[in-house]
Amino acid sequence: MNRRDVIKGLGLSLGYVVATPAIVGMLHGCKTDANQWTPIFFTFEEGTVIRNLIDIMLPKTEATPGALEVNVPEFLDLYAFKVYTPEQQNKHKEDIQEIINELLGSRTRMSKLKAEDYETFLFKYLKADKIAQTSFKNNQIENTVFNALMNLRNTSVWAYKTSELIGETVLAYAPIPGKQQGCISLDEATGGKAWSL
Amino acid sequence: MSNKEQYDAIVIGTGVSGGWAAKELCENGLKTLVLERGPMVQHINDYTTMFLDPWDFELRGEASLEEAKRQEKQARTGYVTDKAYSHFFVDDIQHPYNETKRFDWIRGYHVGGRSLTWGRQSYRLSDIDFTANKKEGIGIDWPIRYKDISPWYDYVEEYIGVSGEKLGLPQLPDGIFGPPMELNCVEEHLKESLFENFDDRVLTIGRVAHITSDKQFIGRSKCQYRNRCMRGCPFGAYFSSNSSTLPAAERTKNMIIRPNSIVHEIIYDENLKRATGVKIIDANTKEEIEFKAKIIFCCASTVPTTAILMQSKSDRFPNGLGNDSGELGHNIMDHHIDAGASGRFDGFKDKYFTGRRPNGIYIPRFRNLGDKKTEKKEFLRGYGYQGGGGRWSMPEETAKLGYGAEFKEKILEPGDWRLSLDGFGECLPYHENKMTLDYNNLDEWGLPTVTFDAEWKENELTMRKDMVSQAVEMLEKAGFKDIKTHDIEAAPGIGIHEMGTARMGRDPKTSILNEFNQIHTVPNVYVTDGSCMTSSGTQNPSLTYMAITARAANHAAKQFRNNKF
Repeated sequence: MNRRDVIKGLGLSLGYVVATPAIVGMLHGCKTDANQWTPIFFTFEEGTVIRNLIDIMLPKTEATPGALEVNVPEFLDLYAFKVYTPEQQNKHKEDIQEIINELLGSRTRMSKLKAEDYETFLFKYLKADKIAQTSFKNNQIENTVFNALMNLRNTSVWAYKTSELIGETVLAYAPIPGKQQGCISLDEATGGKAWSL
Repeated sequence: MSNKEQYDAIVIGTGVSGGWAAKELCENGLKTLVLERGPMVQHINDYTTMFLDPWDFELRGEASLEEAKRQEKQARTGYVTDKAYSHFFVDDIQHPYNETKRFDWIRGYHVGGRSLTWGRQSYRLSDIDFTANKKEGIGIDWPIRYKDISPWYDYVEEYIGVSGEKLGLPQLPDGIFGPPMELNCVEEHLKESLFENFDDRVLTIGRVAHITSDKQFIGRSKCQYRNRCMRGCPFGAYFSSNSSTLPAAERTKNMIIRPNSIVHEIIYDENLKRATGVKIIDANTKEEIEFKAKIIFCCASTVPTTAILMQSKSDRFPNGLGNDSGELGHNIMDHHIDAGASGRFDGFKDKYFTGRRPNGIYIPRFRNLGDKKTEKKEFLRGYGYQGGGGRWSMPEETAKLGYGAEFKEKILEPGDWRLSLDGFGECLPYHENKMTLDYNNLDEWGLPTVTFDAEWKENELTMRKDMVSQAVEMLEKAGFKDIKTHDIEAAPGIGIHEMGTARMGRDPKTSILNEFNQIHTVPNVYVTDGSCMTSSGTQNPSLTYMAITARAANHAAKQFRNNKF
């Protein structure tokens, strides 16, 4: 059973409010889904965690596709494999390991992780206010995890926005604009969306 | 091997200067051999990436580690190694050079040269520039003044198409312009603020070599605002040799173009006291060939032209062709850039723009223009600002959301407005800033490699502080927030405006070239690329190279008709 069928089968509403974590845990044990992707840079475990995190960061909603639909984890895996220097690759691996360790906490196995655990974990770091962000700096592990998650989120945003589906059908796409207007209403220009190119 | 055929002229190089030399010489009826060290790039046909979107590239345009290793020096720019145009920049392993001091030598070897990838900013020098060295006792005096080159600026602008706004400023003479591109909301706001708060400076849209008028250009059409210029433009909307001057030369049927031809020496005849031809190595077969001609135009770009002259040794010129002064290879200049500031503007949230404008803003020089108001004692000369505004930064409210459904929808909307100002500063000519040849380190064709030994000095470094502080002051007065300064003290070369290593002058004892760009002592050799520059100005120099080349080529054609060579 693939992941999409699982979602359909669950009949979950994926609107603005209900995010995907509710199903993350269920997908965890979904072997056929995980088998579809064999990461080339990440280990299977790392790939699974990254996939789950990215799914919560940029979930599918009624309005727009989610990051998994445009293969963000697969792209970031390929990117780390082909673009990063060996030093960057090592650092990246270490960062991901820190994320996994912190996420696991006292649990021994990933299969013990529940959807709420991912949500709680991301909430702590990516919804942190300025004061909390500053306090991370005083704790080496927290600091590493915070920076690694920010990096994962920012590269995911980039990969999401530069994907074909988002670039051509969600963002305002004009391969040959033909004219230039410097200052017009946002509505008139794109109907409120950002330009994709 | 010697080629029996005698040409009227040989042009070395096909960038902005070579293209113009080819066009003017051919249109004057001279049978012209155009030599280019790199491969052919056919207009449109060879623009392999011109229609690709980010997602069409495997890594969204990023080079793989393996590819990046071959362009480590080109990558110092931070942008030219993008897969959209990295093939128009050299392989650093195949084309090595040496750095006594760091020098970022960014270039492409192919037909069209950097005319394909240039920034297209097109500004005239003024008499403030042409007289500065003389007034201040720096370097040597230019042998020309604005009136000598002004008609050639007209001629070139008319032909290439330059979009821009007339300002009536003495330091930045107006030209012949097509309609200007539009400022966006924050740029317009800054322009109005400068008008209200400063009496010494103005903001204008960049003057840029793009067609924006309805005037007819052969084989070229109007800018479509794709901003994919560096890949080669299928519309021929910006000026390049490939879209404009080389086709013009071709139409005369007087041009023979030979790519893959590495010129390494100009042949000098001691009896005739003239150059008689050039020696090349075929880049692919490594075969040595000689070509003969009455006139030689050196347009290989500053550093390669200088290297060719240095390698052209004879009993008469043991230190390189025309190098009686010892100045060949010295006085290398660039513009010093990457100093300025950027800020966020909290307003115009309901405003946006259409089209990807291939152009930025310009704040012309406002320091040391010869009057009390603009005098700045801490440094000589001045700088202009380039930059621009856009809605690209993640708003704080979005960043606060952190992640999730709402966050995702927000990142699909335009970001905050930000505007950036970056100084382009004049660099003085220093004799000790130089390039030399290293005969112990040869390239794969057995030719000596170039060694750079140049640096920014006190005048440039002091000027940079003003570049930063004035940018901050302008942004603050216009109500920008979150102002961030930058002063990336990179090495020379990063402006990609190498200049000055075979300078023009009045005296063979202190310069290489005369007022028509002829080598003083070998008048049938003309040098019309950036190496001829006696000072750097603050303006992007390509338009000046084109005007100087057109002027020199018409001078050469006249001499040729009068049997002077």
